[in-house]
Amino acid sequence: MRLRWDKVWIVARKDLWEFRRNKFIIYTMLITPIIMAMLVPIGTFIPLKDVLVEANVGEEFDYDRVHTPFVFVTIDQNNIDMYHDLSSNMSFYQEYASIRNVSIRSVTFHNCIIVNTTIEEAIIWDSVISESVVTSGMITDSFILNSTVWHGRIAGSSGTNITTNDAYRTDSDLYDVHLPAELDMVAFYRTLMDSMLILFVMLPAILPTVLASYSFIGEKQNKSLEPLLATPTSDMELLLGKSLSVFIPTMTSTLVAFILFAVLVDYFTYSFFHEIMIPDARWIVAIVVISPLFCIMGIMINVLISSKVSDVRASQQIGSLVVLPIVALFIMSSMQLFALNMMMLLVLALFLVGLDGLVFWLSYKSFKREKILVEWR
Amino acid sequence: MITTKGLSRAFGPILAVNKLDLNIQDGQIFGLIGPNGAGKTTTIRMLTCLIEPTLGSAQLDGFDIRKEDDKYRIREITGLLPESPGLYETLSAYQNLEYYADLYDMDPTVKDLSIERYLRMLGIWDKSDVTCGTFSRGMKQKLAIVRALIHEPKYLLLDEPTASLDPASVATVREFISELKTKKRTIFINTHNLDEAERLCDRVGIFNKKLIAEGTPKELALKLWPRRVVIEVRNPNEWYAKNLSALSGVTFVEATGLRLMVDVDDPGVRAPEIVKVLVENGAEVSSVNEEVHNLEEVYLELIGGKS
Ligand SMILES: Nc1ncnc2c1ncn2[C@@H]1O[C@H](COP(=O)(O)OP(=O)(O)OP(=O)(O)O)[C@@H](O)[C@H]1O
Ligand SMILES: [Mg+2]
Repeated sequence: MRLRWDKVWIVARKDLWEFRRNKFIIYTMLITPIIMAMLVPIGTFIPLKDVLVEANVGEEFDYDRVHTPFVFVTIDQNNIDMYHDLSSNMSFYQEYASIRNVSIRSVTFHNCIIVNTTIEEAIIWDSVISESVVTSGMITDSFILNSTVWHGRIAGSSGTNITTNDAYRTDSDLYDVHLPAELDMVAFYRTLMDSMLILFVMLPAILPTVLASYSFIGEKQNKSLEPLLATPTSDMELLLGKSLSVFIPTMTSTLVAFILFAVLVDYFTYSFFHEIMIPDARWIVAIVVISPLFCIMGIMINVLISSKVSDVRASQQIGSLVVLPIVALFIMSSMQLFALNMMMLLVLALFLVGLDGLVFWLSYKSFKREKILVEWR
Repeated sequence: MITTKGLSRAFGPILAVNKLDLNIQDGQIFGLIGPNGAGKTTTIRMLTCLIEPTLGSAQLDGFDIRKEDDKYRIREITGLLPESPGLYETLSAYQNLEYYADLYDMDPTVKDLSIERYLRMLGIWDKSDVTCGTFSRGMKQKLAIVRALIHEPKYLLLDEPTASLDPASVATVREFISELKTKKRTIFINTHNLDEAERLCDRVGIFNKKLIAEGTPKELALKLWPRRVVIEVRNPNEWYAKNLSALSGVTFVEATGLRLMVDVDDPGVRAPEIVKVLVENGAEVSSVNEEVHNLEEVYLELIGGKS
């Protein structure tokens, strides 16, 4: 078998010339990255933009709101709704107390144990807060357990299982901190990124359906294969050249889509996470390893289809079935049947290498000039 | 030189080419003539190493079409115009030629010069950037021929170069091929246009699954029919025929109306003798011609008569 890479490139270059003149292909290759990379993050994050920006409010916390006004409250009563009387202009200050099962506003607690209590506008220090909700509070040097802190500031404290939003945290050791369910950005972000990851590895398997059907069937319909096969070019050079001509635009389009996507996602989420979220190791493996492997699979399957079908549209329709296994993967992942973690990605990559080897071998067998002329109809 | 020995190809039960033996000298134009489905395309495909023969062998310039290593050499020294031109219609004429020039490993400078020369020859140098889908069919066909010879192959194989063209295009394509004839190059043409074969080809093979006859168009006619001198006289007389049949070299005489048909061994020698005898017998000879059989008659006699 003869293989010269300059020949491979000559074959690929001609197809690229042709693609450049094919409006349908140009649009497909341009529109896909736009849809994939721009519409999804924009559509997802713009409605969430307020939420994302509010995440910063803690830094500009309004201390005055907490200090005034202080109000008299009664404690240790079951389910009594405490209220403050602004006109009385009295402040409530409690030390060494145990506060349970109440709802209070505008208070200062020092060295207290606060259980199952709803507090608004409070200064709390050296206290224990458990099973409570603190809104617009300033919690210092305290221990917080199984509680929710909305707005405000947590400093020098420790604790676990804390639901929080908009709370500015300093010098604290908090474990198992999460957002309120409706605003659980992290969880939401993870699910979104998992689906997008799958979309991004799916894209290079679908795009070849459009291109390869032109590259192979187009040539067959145009009857230009016969003179081409009469040139001193080996079957392998032709197969690789034609595959390369599909691979290059597909991967370029995927990469461009990915870069746009990453920039947009990072732009929208930076204020929330305070770090660049993509590309991370998972995305790099997905884009650099998995996507090309899916692309090769897509191309080779299309070569196989081209040898049986003589109509561009029919081939595109059959070729789009390639996505079915990927869609299955997608659904399984969104049903949380498995996690798309690094391990999973590497297993997938290994599996794809094997599958690619198989489909390449099959399509090479179908890509023999005698077969192309005699059987490719 | 193209030689084939017992070259055969079957498609399942269909025998497309049956034991073809050919010897085509370098520098000749050879025409393979046969009806639809005769196996002409199959023959050309075998000669250009596109499909394998089921039996027999062929050599081009000593390279064997069945040897894997020779196939590349054969592809390098041949150029093929298939039945349909198969140009890339969205690409320019220049790109179409450049692609093939590169596939044939042409040196970049030679390539550019060569493409320019041929595009000028076709008169479309100023349109070299225009997508060739806009060209007329005749022009496309010529461009496809140029594509087949851009690398100056020793063997040019043309599969029905003028089929499905209008008469004017046929004329220009044919003229173009005859221009190529001046070069030292072997051209193999598949055709069922007999007029074309007669005008272009040095030798022809009449072919339908197997080779029926081979030679120059004239030779073929001679194999089929005796050489015949046709004489017209103004005053027909039954004596003329009788006198002529006595002459040496004359094998057969027939008189119809004003015409005398005389079969002879060598018209160049016998015609003057015949005329002399006729004149001596008082005949007023108005014309003397040797009967010519064109390729069409030969073809119909060999193929048309059978089917
Ligand atoms: N790929 C194929 N599969 C099966 N049969 C074939 C194939 N190619 C050609 N044949 C058969 O072989 C015979 C010769 O075909 P071929 O195309 O060589 O004829 P041809 O002389 O070129 O005819 P035409 O003048 O129509 O071009 C025909 O009977 C045809 O049906
Ligand atoms: Mg034919």
